[in-house]
Amino acid sequence: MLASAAIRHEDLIACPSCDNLTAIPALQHGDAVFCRHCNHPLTQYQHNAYDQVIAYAVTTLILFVIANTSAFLTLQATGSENLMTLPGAPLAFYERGMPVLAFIVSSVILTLPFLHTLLVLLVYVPLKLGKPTAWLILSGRLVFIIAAWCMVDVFLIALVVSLVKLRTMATITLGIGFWAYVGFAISFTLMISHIDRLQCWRAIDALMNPGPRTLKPPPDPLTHTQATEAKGS
Amino acid sequence: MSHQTAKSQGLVSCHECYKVSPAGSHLCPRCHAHLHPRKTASVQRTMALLITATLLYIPANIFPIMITSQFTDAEPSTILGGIFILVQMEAYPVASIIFIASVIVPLAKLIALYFLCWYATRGSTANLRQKTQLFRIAEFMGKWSMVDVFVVSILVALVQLQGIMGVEPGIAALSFSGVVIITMIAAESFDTRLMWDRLAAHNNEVFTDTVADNTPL
Repeated sequence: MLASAAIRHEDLIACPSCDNLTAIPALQHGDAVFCRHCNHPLTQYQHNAYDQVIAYAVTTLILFVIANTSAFLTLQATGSENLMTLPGAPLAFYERGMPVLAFIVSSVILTLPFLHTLLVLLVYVPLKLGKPTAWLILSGRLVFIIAAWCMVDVFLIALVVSLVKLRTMATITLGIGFWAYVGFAISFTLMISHIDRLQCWRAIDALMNPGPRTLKPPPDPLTHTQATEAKGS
Repeated sequence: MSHQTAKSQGLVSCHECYKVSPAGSHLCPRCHAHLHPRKTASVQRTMALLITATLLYIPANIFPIMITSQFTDAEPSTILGGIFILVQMEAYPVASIIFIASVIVPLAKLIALYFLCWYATRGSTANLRQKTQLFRIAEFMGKWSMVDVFVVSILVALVQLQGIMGVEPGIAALSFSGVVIITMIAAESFDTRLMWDRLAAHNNEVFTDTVADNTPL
């Protein structure tokens, strides 16, 4: 059986990197847990995470709409000028016969970050309100699958590189859309940094399966250990 | 220190929500994801994707990533050529960003994943903590290689002045984004727990001292 008899089955998580079991009980604000064997960061608990995540998600969505609809960058040289919008970047590939590249770029900088933010709201608003909803589990899974494919921060660096490349060739005017995108990228990154997989799933679990645990008083440690052992064997 | 893994305790961990369930369960009771004690055919899939990415890396560097035209001159530039132009412009910080993101990161990631595939099946079981750390860095850095492809997309959309200057995308942009996406999927298919399993198996052999030692160290 497990090393310490007092460990509860539902507190255990296995490290995704090395499969080492760690018992993570209820945490305090700011507590971070690392795997003892491979140092993998397992979780970081933030007690006010819901409010912050929802606030950043709403900001992100507003700035996303502004960034996509306003003038992004304008290039001027020898009397003529060209205005570029944000969706124009992946569209440029499509217009030149590279639809696959257009699809990849538009997905990782626009579609997936937008979807991710919407799904974050679909998960965190019910969690905040304490209302179980039918889509909670599906959106919870999608949030973490999509997160790996969002490249908002990479595109921000690409913008800086492009501006430096062009500085000797032409005059560039930064539009409202550009600044909205910078804000969007910062807000999106802050939102992601406040989302913790373990905390999120434990909250979803508690909401979807209230069960007898929350209704009954906490069980006596001795009987609980026996129950855990019976389950494990 | 004993390494108590979920596997050794008859448990299987959900890769999506981290809940542990009894071994043999097929669906996670919490998030309904399919449960696998280890990722399916991890090393085979990772190796297949790595070979694909390595092959794509060749056209990504030989062919131009973009073609810049000023008046009537059209000048194609490869990934390395673009970095060289930035060095000539004395834009050193930007040149080093592109050099790290487009040359060092994809190469280092490919080499690191090849090594890790080797260690997941044979080779030494020493320094697993560092090897796991190496994997996490490779996994985290992967997406930053897309910088150059994004720069091309911005330049192609922005630098369009009829008859004065223009930028057209080159075929290397497609091959290079293929390298990045495929190595990201390769990292996702790789299971670092296989390396730790080999260490656990090795420790068991030494401890019980009953099996003839046929695994070369």
